[in-house]
Amino acid sequence: MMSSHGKRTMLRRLLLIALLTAMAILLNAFDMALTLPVPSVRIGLSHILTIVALYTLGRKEALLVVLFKVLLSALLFGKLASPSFFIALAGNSAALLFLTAAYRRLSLIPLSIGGAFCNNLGQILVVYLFFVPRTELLWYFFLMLLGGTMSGFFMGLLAGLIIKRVNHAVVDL
Amino acid sequence: MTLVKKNDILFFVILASLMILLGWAASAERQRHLTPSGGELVIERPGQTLRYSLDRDRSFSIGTHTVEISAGRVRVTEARCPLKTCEKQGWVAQGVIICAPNRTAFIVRPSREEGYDVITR
Repeated sequence: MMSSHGKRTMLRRLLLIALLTAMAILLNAFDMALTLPVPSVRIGLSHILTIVALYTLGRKEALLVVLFKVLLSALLFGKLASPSFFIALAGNSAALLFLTAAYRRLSLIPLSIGGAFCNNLGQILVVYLFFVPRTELLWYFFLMLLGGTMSGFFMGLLAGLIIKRVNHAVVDL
Repeated sequence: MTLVKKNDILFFVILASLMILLGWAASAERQRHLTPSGGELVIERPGQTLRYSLDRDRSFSIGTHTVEISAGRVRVTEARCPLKTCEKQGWVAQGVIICAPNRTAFIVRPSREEGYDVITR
């Protein structure tokens, strides 16, 4: 039998995972609705929550949040069978791989920028290997990275603010 | 927690050099692709297939039709047929103009570097 304390932390973790996933999906929707004047750039707001999950909960939980986010976003927005699902999956996996490997070694902002970099790398690799095997993608990749580095910086900043508050907040159950 | 870790500096150095390298490679690659390389117009009519480069702008008559090539696009300016569908089609940068009565097809193939491969949303 699990102690009542153990049950509580478990519940707290589950609750946080569910909350973070839900917020990530919402941010994804908001992100999709935004049309930026530059074609190759998206903000990637939902990645804030990947970082928050990683810092407040841990690696396994972050993996769950990302997996649910990608799957449910694709389901909700009708992109499960389209290239964008596989592109998103690859980008998010690459970013998460980098984040879990580096999050004890880097500060938040470089970590976030690196995550954005790996996200773009994963995306472009899948596009190149499965959809458009053309070297012109290199230039597009470069543009993506310029935007990605910028948004990575701001996402890291925001994630830092949120993590501080989440760590102070006590989810009372 | 210290404000800047040693790894952070290392990270930014690696990132900056990667970006410079990538920017250089990407722009070189882009230059290579931007140099024009010929698309072509293939005209298929009864008994013959003719090929013309789209690089040079010109206008010429071919049997029952007068064709104009300009800026990599093709149009039929005059046709000896009742419906003149091919004339009405106007400029074509990629695709086919077909004149059924004269059994003639004008196939416009842009160079490999132009046009879309895939559109994803």
